[in-house]
Amino acid sequence: MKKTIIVAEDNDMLNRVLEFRLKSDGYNVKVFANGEEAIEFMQNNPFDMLITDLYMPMMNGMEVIQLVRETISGAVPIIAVSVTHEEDLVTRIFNIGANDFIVKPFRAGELSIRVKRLIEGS
Amino acid sequence: MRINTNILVLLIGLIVGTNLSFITSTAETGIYVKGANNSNEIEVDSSTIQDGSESSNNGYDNRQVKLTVEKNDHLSTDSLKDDNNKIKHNDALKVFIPGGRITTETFRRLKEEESIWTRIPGFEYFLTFIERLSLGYRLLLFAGLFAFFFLMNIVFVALVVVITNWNKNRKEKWYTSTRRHVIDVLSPLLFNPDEVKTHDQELAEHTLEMLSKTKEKQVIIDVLMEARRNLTGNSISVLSEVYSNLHLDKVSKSDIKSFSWFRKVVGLRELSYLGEQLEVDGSILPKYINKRNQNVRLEAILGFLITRKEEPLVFLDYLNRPLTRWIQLSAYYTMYFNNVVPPLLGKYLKVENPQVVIWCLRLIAIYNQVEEVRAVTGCLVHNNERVRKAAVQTSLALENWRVKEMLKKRYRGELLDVKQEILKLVGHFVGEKDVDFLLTIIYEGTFTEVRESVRILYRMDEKVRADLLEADRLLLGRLAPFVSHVAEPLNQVII
Repeated sequence: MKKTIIVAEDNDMLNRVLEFRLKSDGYNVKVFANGEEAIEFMQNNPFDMLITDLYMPMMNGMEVIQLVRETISGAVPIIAVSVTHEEDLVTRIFNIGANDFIVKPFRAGELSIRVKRLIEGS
Repeated sequence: MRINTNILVLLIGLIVGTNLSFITSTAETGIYVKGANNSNEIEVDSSTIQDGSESSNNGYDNRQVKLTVEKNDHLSTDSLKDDNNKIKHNDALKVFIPGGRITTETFRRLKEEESIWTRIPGFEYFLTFIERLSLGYRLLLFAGLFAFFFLMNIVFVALVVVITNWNKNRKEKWYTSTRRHVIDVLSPLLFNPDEVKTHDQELAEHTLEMLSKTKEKQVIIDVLMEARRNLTGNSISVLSEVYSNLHLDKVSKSDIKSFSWFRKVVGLRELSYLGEQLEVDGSILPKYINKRNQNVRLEAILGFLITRKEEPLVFLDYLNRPLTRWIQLSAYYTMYFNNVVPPLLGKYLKVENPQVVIWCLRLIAIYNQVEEVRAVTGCLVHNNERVRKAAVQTSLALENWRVKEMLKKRYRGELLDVKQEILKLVGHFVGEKDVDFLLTIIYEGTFTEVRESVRILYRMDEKVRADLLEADRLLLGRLAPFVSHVAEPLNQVII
């Protein structure tokens, strides 16, 4: 059975590229343009991984990660994506429960490898 | 911006409408009574008067003069004057027109010059027309006109708002659908750039070639730029190929020739990120690096940082304009976010422009280029005090303790700003040999120097503290406030 990956990213171009890439890797992908929609879906449906941008409208990535960890799942792998990579931010992201962190701009292949490693590990 | 335009249109409409009403209402002098002539007679406009009948003058006590006039009558003003030969009741003279219509007229023109409006050819005929139109009720007509113009203004503004919003929504809808189409075409090329087949790319390019209008091409460029910001690796070469094969650089090149600086900035950015490197940093960017507009200059500099990653600071060779603080910060953060590491910067410490030298000194400190210690030391004797100050700061950042003795010797001749930095450096590398130097400053220095010296000495050891107390005794307790200040635990945290 295909694993489901949730992508929460406000950039529609990147959304589309990630959707193509992850689908070609054999995953079932659900894409959302903001954190609120993603949370609503995750509360009602099973999923195997979350990839979230940190800066989004309505609900940012930090809040999404925190909410997932507190109310939905403590074990599902989460990858945070951001354009900034200050030390404080990265530390905070890992502290609130992200499993991995990737900085924009990134290689589509690199993300694919990280997803595979985390999903298989979990 | 759109709201401001609407408000502007409303204001202009209101002003025009109000003025039109005002003009027609204030220029009423002389419609019926064409004014005085030298013989003190009032000429009555015959066109407004029907066949006359009885006439009566009931005196001045009720502030009204009722006159019944015949067609083409000439009325003497004598009947309107009081004993002092002044026009009486001139604000409320009523001309009774047979047929039941009464019109209020002023007779100021008997004493004053003609209204400026009456000098406009044909204006009197216009007013006469107005009078006919209003059937004698001119004030009512003016009120009606005012209301009409006011309502027209509101309708006009409402129309402008509706049309603007409709147009905006239409454009947004078009942009969104075109953009979605472009994303759909490009995404298969970007998600796995290592396995992109030539015919896939050709097919995508052929599809995008259909979008031939300039604004459609701009949408493709926008999507390419967005992809460039989010993806790296082989995706970038795919993006550049698409940009080049579709001749989208022509759009960017026409932008950089535009009159407006922001179009230039957009064009430069697109060329820097997507254009062919050799052409961009070889012939395009150098032309814009010394432009008068700072934003254009900055974009050209950032273009060099993006395109010439192996030698990003080559723009300094072309730059003749000031390297402002804003440009320095922007350039630094562009390097930081694009993982651009500057080369060894020693050679730029010899250029004439002090702003460039200071910026390079800061970069040497940030990127910890210890190889450039000798070049930094040379800047300690630079003829510009701001460069000397930055050189001391950089020496401290590079932990170059060897310059301490040299700086102590130069201390007396330095400016206060540089002295402060020297004291910080001495404090960082302080030893027994520095105590005499610091005590001398305590006796001779300014407030700031004394405070810094006391801080350094107080933190050394007990023996030095005893020397400090001895100095305080000799200075009649003048050091006591400084000592208590640096001894305060809260102040000890701030170093």
